[in-house]
Amino acid sequence: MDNQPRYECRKLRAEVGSRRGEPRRIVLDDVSFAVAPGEFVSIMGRSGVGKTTLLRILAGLHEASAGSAVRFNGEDVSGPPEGVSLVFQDYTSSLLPWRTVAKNVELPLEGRLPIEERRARVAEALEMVGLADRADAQPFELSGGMQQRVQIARALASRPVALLMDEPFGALDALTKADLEDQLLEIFAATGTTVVFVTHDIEEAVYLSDRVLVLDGTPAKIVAEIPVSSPRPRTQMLTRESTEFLEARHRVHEVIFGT
Amino acid sequence: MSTRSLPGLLPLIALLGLWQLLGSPDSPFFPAPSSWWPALFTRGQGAKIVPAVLDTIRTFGLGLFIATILGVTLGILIGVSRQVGRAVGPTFEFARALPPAAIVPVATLLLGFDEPMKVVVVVLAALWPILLNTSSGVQELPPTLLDTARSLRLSRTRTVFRVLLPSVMPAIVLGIRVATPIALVITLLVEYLTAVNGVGALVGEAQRTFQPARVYALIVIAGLISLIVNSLVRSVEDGVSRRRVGDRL
Ligand SMILES: Nc1ncnc2c1ncn2[C@@H]1O[C@H](COP(=O)(O)OP(=O)(O)OP(=O)(O)O)[C@@H](O)[C@H]1O
Ligand SMILES: [Mg+2]
Repeated sequence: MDNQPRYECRKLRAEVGSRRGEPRRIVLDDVSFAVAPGEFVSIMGRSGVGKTTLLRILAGLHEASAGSAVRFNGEDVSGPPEGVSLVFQDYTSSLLPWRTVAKNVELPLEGRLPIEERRARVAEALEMVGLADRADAQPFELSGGMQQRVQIARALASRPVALLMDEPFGALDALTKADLEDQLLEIFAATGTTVVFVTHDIEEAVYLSDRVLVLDGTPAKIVAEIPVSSPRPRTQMLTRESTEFLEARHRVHEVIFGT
Repeated sequence: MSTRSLPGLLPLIALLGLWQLLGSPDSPFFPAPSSWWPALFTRGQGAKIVPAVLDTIRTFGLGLFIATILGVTLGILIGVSRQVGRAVGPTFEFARALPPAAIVPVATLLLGFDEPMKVVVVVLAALWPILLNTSSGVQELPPTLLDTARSLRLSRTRTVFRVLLPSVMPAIVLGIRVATPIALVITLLVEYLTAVNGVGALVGEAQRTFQPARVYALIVIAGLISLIVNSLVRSVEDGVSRRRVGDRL
């Protein structure tokens, strides 16, 4: 049971463009990979290659073409599976501006858990992202980094077995980004959740992941798979200076830029 | 309506004053304003006024209420599903283009000269601004918001009442504000055309029986109803936008 992969995609093919009269374009073709339980995998590739599309398929928000196999815990994905949380890059449109921070985090638990349990989960999730003291704030009163942490807390509140993240730190400044990366690694270590992380920052992918998958081509497929052997726990300074990190970064660079 | 709107009424007051000075109480077209108020009560007709006002307000209120429920429901369905939008779009375009005066004969034919007929005509006229504002409000929502609701596996009901409706509330309120004067004008028009109850019917009656002062008095009453209703809607709208001021930041 436990050596069953968390996610498994075989011969995955994806089309986009649903507007009428517009031909559907094949974005991904013959994409195959698996993600083990508790693994941290990053997906990289140039803009428009199909990273978001792939993540939306894993999240059950986009249907893969006929003939593709997409399984979560051994079951075919059709619609958002239970136990999977998705974090969007665009936190501003993902949070409900009329709800407080705590109420936003509570949203996925409403109608599913008794009130005391919900409160406890919300407090726990806010604690994990370091926002326990801002529970009663409105989202617009917070900085961008804090709003993204609210979204991450909301994703964690349902105690997901898999966390899917689409360039979650892409819109943040370098310092905030480094902070949130470390916080994410702590959460990853504390919860044992599986993470699939989309980014186009090579350093970020290598720093966080056990494995980096590179998408390329039209339609895109996985052109390289680079393991990162840097030991955990990782720290910004030491890990980024380690030979394992530099080696992995070099290889990703090579695959993407071709030299 | 508050003391702030008083200066805006000055031209009207001036006009009425002038009219009073130049007009005569017996003029068949422009009876002096001082003769209007008594005209409401001549020939024992005073008892009709309050029931008529209540009738008008009831038809207007019921019509606007049903138009709101219907407009928001259809607007959300159309906004969420492109198929529904395509399926009903042309029909709605046609129905929207029908002038209310053209609907009245059909409505009286189908529903008779009665309260439901009045309400149906008002609903058909007041529906569109609410429906269109709601559906375009939903269509303009960021896709991420709907993806969020799906990804969090919210039930359909919860998605509508916890995510969609609050998000499009400003658009809905704007639609209602546009629909309000339409609903009132159409109420008076139907009453006038069909002589079924209400202030509009009294206007028609006064006109047919050559009581010009009474016509003007009834028009003043209709104007007052309109002022009060519009200021009510405006204060509701202010309340909604104040509570949601955070969205704009
Ligand atoms: N709804 C859609 N309709 C039409 N084309 C789409 C749609 N969504 C995505 N695409 C196209 O599919 C391709 C892949 O898009 P996707 O968003 O997955 O790329 P991405 O790798 O996430 O890019 P980025 O790094 O810029 O976020 C792009 O060329 C895009 O134009
Ligand atoms: Mg993307």
